[in-house]
Amino acid sequence: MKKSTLLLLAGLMSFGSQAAVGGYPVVLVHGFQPDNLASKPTGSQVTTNGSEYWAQYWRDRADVRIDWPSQERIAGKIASDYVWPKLQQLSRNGTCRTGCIFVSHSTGDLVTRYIIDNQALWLQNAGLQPLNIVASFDFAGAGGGVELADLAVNVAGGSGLIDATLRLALSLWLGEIPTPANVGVLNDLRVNSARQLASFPDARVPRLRFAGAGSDFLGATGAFLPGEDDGVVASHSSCGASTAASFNSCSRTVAFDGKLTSVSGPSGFMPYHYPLLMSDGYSHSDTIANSAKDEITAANSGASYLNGDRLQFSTYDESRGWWIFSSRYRVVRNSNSTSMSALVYQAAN
Amino acid sequence: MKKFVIICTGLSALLAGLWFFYPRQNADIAALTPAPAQTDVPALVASAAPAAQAAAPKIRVTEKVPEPIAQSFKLLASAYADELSLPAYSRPLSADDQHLLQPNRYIPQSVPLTAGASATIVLPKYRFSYPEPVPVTLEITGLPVFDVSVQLIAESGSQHSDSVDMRGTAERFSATLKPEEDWNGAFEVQVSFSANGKTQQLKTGIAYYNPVATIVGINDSLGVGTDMQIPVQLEVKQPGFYRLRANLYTAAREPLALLTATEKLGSGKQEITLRAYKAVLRNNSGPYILTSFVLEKRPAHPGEQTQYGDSAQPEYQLDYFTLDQLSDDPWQPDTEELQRLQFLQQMAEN
Repeated sequence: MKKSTLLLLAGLMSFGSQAAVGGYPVVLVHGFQPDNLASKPTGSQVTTNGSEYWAQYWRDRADVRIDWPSQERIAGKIASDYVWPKLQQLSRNGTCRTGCIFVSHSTGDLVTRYIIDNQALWLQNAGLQPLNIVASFDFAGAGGGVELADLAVNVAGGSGLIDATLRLALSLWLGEIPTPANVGVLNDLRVNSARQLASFPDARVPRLRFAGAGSDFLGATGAFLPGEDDGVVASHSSCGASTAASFNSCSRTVAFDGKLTSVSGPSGFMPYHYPLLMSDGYSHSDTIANSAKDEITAANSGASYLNGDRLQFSTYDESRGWWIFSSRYRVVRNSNSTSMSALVYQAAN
Repeated sequence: MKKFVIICTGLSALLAGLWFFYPRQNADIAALTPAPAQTDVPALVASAAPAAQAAAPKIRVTEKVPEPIAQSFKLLASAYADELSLPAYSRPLSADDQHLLQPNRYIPQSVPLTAGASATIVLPKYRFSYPEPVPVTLEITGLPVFDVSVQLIAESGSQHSDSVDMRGTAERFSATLKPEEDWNGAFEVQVSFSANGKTQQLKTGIAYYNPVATIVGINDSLGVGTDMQIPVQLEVKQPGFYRLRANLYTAAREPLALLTATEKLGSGKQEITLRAYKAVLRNNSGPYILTSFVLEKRPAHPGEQTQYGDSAQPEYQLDYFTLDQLSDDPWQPDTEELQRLQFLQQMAEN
């Protein structure tokens, strides 16, 4: 009995020592959970869902999770009934007194932006200390909106003349087509609504973006998303671009697969949004999983790296009579054997 | 910068092998190489090259350039440090800052319909203020539709407009909806049309507000320390925590800065002061244009919705301003911002 208690304590201590990024406590904010629209979870089921959501990698590396149900609205019950109790808890416990890191996935990016914009005012009004949010790591961030949400809200209202392949793609993503009465957070995820929600928080919290261009749905949803996408979120959103347009990369000089080449990328980003890593083979859900799916590239290109270094070159060998074409790919070291989330976590610890 | 280049394909070995085994006049050998991406002959090179060169076989070589993740954090820390060199209340603007230059922009979303047709609801902006009407356009391609109508319905379900017929050409139907004074909050624009014996409804979200405060004027600018201070006069209907954002342009409409101020305001005549830091003025001494106002009454507690104000005029002209009266003191970020920078720098060193 004593031995098992000691083992449990050792395990808890080990958990505690892991629950940090760069020495800061970690707060998780998960994304949209399609099955919530029909099941409408409340109470402990929301907590269970949140725990399962992050189980693969981040759950045991975090101190606090903000769990919320997808049938609700961000500025409504999600804020008042699910976010607010956790913000008070974080403040009262002093979890973020000396700084903490938020890690978000998908719609959690938008929820986090709403938190960053409002938490200080709400907590001060309640006589509590505001949180010191040092940075956020946003995996497959949906803060710039999701075109599939616009389409889903339309199809929910009746699909008489809607394209059949679109209905199929939405079914793959959502499981079942919602009704107008239960679209919930999909309303907030629509491109215009998302980009208007807490669009520019005053606090200069750096939002680090991690984006993929794979698909969980065999590419079926990509036909309805502009530019490159991860099967759910288009790159304009996951990269944090200032415009909702068709982009093939988060960078204008590096493709999702790391190829150093001229590529259509954003010319500007939302304030304090910084694309950091991207990969061609990571789908929306892969970005927070614990397996290496593909090599990963650095999304922010340093001018010094590219200056005087031709991205791509071709030479004609006259003596041999052939052309040599060379392509260069920038890859993050160890990314062929380490998941995107693990790479980020290891870099910070 | 530390850079390690690995020639993954073993260029020299490949060339040596080809030297011995490759038939000179044979077909393209590109398929033998392991390059993950295909690279076509650049058009200019191909057209300028002699015919023999254009027909020559092609070898594709892939190089992988491993980079430590710390390098990315180093670049990020540098970019963030640049942001901190200026105050948050006075952010420089460029033509690339589209969503800041047009903070109320509506982005049309097209919906694919049967047989390759599509329909798109188009609006001039996302957020409207009473008593503005709401002009709605439906663009249709590839499908003859009829019985086109539009209605505005509050997301809360408590209010709605009358349904209005939309008229126009076969591919573009329009109507303008008149608001009610008590409209306030999130609304759905619902467009209905029929085709092939079926009815389809499309929706998009907008915001419609009866302004809780109005910008009624701008007083003369003042020079205080490093800042050109711009006193903005307000008529406030609902007291609360307000945030005002406005874009400052040169007289030639070159964007200069996004200015932000937050104040707790009572009701009645109030003033909120925007500040333009000297460096963001970029030696422009005016006159200036102040426009693109976003006046928010922020939610004081969770669950409360953001309310919006408006401006009596869409833009105001500001007079010449003597920049010499401003100091050149460098901006000092606050302790939390420095801590954020330190965290990014720490990541760059790991």
